[in-house]
Amino acid sequence: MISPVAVSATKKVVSSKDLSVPDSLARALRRADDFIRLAVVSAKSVIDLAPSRQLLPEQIGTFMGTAYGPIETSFRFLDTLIDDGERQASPTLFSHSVHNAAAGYVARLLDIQGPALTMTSFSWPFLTAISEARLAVDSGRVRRALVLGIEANSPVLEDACRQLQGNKAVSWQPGAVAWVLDTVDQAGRYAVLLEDTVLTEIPCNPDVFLTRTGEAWNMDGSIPRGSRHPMAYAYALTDAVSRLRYSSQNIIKWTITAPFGQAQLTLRNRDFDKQGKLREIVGQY
Amino acid sequence: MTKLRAAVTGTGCVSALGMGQYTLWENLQRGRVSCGPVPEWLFPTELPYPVFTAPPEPLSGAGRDLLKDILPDLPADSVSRTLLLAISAVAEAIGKADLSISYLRKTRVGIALGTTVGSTFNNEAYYLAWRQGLHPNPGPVHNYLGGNLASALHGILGTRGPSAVITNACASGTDAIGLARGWIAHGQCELAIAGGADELSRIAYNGFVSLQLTDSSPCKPFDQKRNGLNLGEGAGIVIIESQDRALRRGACPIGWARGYGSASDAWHPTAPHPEGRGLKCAFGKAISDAGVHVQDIALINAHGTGTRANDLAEAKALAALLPDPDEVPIVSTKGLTGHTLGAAGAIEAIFTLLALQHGQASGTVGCSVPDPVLSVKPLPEGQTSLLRNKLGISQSLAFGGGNSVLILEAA
Repeated sequence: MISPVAVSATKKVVSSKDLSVPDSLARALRRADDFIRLAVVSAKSVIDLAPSRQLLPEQIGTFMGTAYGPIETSFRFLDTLIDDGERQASPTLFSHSVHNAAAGYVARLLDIQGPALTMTSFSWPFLTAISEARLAVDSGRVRRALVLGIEANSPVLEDACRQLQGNKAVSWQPGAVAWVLDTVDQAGRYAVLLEDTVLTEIPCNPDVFLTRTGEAWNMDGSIPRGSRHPMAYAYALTDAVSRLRYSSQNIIKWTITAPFGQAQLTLRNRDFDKQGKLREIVGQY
Repeated sequence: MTKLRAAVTGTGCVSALGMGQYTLWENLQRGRVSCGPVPEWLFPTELPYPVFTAPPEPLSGAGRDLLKDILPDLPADSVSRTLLLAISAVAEAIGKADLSISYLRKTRVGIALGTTVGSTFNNEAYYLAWRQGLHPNPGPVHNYLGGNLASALHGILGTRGPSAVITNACASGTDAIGLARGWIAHGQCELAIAGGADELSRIAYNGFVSLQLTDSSPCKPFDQKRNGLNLGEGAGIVIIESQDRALRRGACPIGWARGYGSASDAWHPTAPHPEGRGLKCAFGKAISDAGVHVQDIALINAHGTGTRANDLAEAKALAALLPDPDEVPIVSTKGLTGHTLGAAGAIEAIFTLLALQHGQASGTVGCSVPDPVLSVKPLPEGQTSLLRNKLGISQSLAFGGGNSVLILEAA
């Protein structure tokens, strides 16, 4: 049995124009690709939004989920190999093409010295990252978890997706979501509690991972919604947390289904107890 | 922290040392090195850097039987070499653990696997065609999407449960075992298949060459003349269960995954912290997680890649961590397997368990004269050391500054 954790802060980056690099990070990110920039900028933003806590760098962990990782950087590296030949390939592009390069940048630039776990899944990588972060907080491996979901734009995959969908145009903006998870006793006044996560995957035609055909999510039985963007589910879930945080609603069950499985997250408003009564707010917040 | 003694009831391994644990152990004892130029059947290159290849046919007899029984119509060309290596190791591990497919299908099974090459879309022919403005058949994209190791194995085995592919570069296999142990501790699954797999690829090969991290001769971990790493390929798989469950079904544990710790250097994209800062932290967390004392550790299977920076940082950290570094044999097995990237941590965890089981560690192949600059003295090639107990460490360092440590105990 895993204890609830608090979602202390959330941040969405839904397009390139949201991706403005703060001056303090500009030099450090001058050679970074979009994937790394998305990770660092969203991570810094969400940590700035989260309640301040006196924690050692090794008590904070990073949990990143991605489907495609820095795929375009891999192709840029391949370009240098094809065009310039062996011995001439770019070392910087290679080091940035590794999936966990972004988590490494986040750790270095934000001085996070706890575990940094990058997980790759074509279904719901952000939900996988949330599940592992929750386990890490619950087990005491970390006292605060930074959870990231990142996808960069890939013209190669866009084109493949278009072909798989009968030449329907597909456009992906790069995107990121970032959450901060804390133990409940350390959560801020307006935190939302993540009480349960259930994630089940089933085999399917792999093309669906790219086209997202048949994927739909809803809250408490509302009309299901879907999108072709690989990050859309993570944006919708992040919106649900924000909405709950400032509403008088007690609890929501957020559900997602797709040909490749289903998942359900139970989110509860911090100010309500399990019987649905408003908690008395005491000075600890 | 969990303090869980997760039982390891089966292991499977394939690498340049051969297929199957017994072959592997014999070749490990003999110090058999099969390092050579990149074979033509793998990919073309004019570069001189040798590699450690697994057998050209990556699917073992047991792996072939497993596929034949479950998915007789699986088109061979739709499955990556990485996945075939993983299937071979999985088939051996579930056989050793005395698990049937029908039992696995009735059980909540978690699959956690580490990889690097196995998570990237590296079909050069497709990319070349796309780059020329053609619209290549999306078959390779279809195979890539179907090739997520954990999802694909769930599909092949017909199992249900948590699934994770860890892409933490060279520490991925270690992290996958640590993560699966956490699943068992928290009741996320009843049994876990964990480890790592990676194939040799032209892209990774040229990447490491571009970083000037490769040796043009067989690698020499911890040696004073060491000059870099050699890439390798392979897979390592462990079956992990709770001790209670293993005993209930009559399984005989090979050993236990006792503790796990991981930490970041927060230092440099490709170089380790010079003092091994993250490694020290991960080591401490693993010791605490296992509830053991550093003095209890009888063997350290180091990351020991043979690069100057890795071996130096690792040695500095171990000198600071071990009360008496001369009392604990420190070895690297990369002189026998090469650096198998996402598989390395899992393969080395299995080597650690085997050495602990036999009560003996073999010296580091390639290390003739330990570098006097190193703060610890690793066990050199040709020497063996009797182990004083059955508790050991397997540790991994990674690009991105990751450090991961497993505490393992042999039965």
